[in-house]
Amino acid sequence: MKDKKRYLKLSLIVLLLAGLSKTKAPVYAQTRGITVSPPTIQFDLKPGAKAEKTIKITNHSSSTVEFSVNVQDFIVTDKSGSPELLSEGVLPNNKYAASTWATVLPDKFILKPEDSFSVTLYLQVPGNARPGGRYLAVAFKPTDATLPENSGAAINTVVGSLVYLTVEGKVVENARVVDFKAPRLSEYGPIPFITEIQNSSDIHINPKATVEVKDLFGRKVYSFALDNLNIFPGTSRIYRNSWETKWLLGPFRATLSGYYGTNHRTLMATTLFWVIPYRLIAIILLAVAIAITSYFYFRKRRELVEVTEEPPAKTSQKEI
Amino acid sequence: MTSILIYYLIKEGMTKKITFFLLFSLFFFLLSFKAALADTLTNASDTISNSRPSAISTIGVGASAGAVKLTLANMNTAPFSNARYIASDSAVLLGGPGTQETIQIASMSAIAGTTAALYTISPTTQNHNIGATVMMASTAQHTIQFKTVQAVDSGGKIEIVLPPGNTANPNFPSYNGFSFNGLTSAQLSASGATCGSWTITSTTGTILCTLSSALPAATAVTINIGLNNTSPVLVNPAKTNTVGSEDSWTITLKTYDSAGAVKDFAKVRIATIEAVEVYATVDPYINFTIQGINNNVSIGTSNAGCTDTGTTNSGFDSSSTTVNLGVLGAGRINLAAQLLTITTNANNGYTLTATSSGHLIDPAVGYWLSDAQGNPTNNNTPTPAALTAGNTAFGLHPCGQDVYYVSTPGDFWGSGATGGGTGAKYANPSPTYYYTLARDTTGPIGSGSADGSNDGLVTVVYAGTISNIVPAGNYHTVITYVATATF
Repeated sequence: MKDKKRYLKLSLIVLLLAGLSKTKAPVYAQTRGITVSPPTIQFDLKPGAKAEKTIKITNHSSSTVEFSVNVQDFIVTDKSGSPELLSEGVLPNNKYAASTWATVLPDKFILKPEDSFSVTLYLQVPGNARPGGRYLAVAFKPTDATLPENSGAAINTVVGSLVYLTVEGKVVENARVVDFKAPRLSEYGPIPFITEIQNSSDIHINPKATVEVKDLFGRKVYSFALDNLNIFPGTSRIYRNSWETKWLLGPFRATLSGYYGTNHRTLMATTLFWVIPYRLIAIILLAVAIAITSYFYFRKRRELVEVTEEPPAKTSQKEI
Repeated sequence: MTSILIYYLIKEGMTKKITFFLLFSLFFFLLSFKAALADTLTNASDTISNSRPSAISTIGVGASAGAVKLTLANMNTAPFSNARYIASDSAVLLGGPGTQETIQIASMSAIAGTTAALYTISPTTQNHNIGATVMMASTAQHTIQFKTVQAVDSGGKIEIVLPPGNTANPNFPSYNGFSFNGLTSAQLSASGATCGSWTITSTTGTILCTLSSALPAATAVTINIGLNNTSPVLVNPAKTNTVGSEDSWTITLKTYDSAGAVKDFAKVRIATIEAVEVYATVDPYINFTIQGINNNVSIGTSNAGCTDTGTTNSGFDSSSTTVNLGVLGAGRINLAAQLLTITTNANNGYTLTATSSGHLIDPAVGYWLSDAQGNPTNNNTPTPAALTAGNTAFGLHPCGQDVYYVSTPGDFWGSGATGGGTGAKYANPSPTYYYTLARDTTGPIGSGSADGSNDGLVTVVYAGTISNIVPAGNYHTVITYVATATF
């Protein structure tokens, strides 16, 4: 009987501990996940030409989701290459617009968890289209945004597939390096390099360029390549690089050379900078100065001591 | 035919013309006598130990020392498109204008536009400018076999003529033929015939064996070309034909007697072709996932790249589609959060921006909470601002290693304490103007990428605080996150 009671007590303690130790998972189990493939599409089409492309979407959410698909123009206005999807009617004079040339079918569908579906993007370039770059996005968006009961926000998601369309023909290609710099004077590395390339073309460009750093004697001491980035027409893009080293001394010349566009037009820029570990040099100079001063000070002092000690020495000689 | 012609001429009484015709024919007969005596070598063949073509390309982007990725140019144009055969485990020489070096190739991307990325097993040790040559020299041993028809006396010759390859850089492949790669007589051997000496002329692709003893008729001869210890020497030509079609090359074989007359000859053809090309396709994709974060949980939970401090305190768990800030009260800041995850194999990474339907508003009374940063006047403008408990404001704040900044990390969205103070900064976008939350221009993005396990993770903190004069009601807005590849 006693054993039975003890067993019951033990069971209760175990259950209590189990209840206490049960903690809530920090991240809510319900998820919304969308995969779109491909994320970017490139078309090169002549005026009057047609094309189509299949885009696949997969619902990785924990529930069934209804999706709508929109074709939207996009532009880039910042120097980081962030695409800005434009709603209908926004920026009506956008010369890079092509959403009216495209349609996606079907534009609505329902997907169960982990199911995939393919839509088709149809493109028809008008016969009188101006040659150059056109940019649109195929945007997939769930339609079930619901507001919370109290104050708060409904969260919606858009995942876009970016379409780069090149209308073939004679295209103006112009670009230049508008900024290429390193700090004029640094104490030590790393040395940051900032490069800004402005694209004045009618089409996006993808410049290829390398930077060579030479020392006072013209020896190449470092080189690097700029990242392989697209630059939207009419915008610039900033490249950030760094010479990851610490100890450097002297003047350095960095030269950027590269090309852009279909005709490989040249990009060139040069910058000069100094790296002088001035605090270290000052400390060394100070230490040397102290050493020299100390040397002369102690030498003089020793001479004085020797001078004062000289008479007794003479006396002793006489004694001998 | 000739008899008919002579009969016709005799019939016509043209004796002089007949004499001229016969002398003319005799002259040409004597002239071609030597060639006419030559027979075709029987069972002639050239077997190469490796039929894989070589590959040549150039880099379209300069590569610094330490690079593990090379960008090959002109990959959409033949014959450069055949440079995908570089993507093997073979040694590859990366040539000038920088110093040459040998690198091992790990893999190669699909051809995207005009370029393809070549990934190396270990970093390069030299700098290589745009236009530097990348090539893979595929070498093969040639085994030439034939059976003589006519005997060849001592001092006679056996001649092998291959299409000549690169003679300026004999270890580089060529689109035109077989580069001799420093072939020496020590790397040549013959059985069935005794070669007293060898003459090698790489500019014409000729290998000549001078016989030191007679070669009887009907003798089987085997000649091995180019075996340096166990490594073949001759470099196969680079591929010029389309994938799946061989490049065909003609080898000429001749025997000469000691007087230089051709005894036997043969032309054999060999083909270089890729072995079995195994294709596998990985679809390009971008994935965007949102998960709610529960109430009373540390802000940086499940995202070690987020170092902000604070705890969700709205009283409600967030879901993937709803963020409930709970009951807002004067003198406190309500916090809720979500975890956003972006993964993509796109080379140019991703950009995550947010727009909203507008202010956090109670439509019933038309009163709204001020945006933390003030009214948006442009994209990312004005810059996000810190919250003070009791000063009415609503906004969101991203946190993680990819969070957007202007010049230095943290200069735009701030970092630190999320529950007020000067740490985390907040903004509420508008329907017209977006705020960039995070970006990473170097793909691929995800926990297995070079950027570590927190790559692509963004924690978004939602915060609201009110003063005493805010009317009672339920305040709402719709936040829309847009995930795309970076341009």
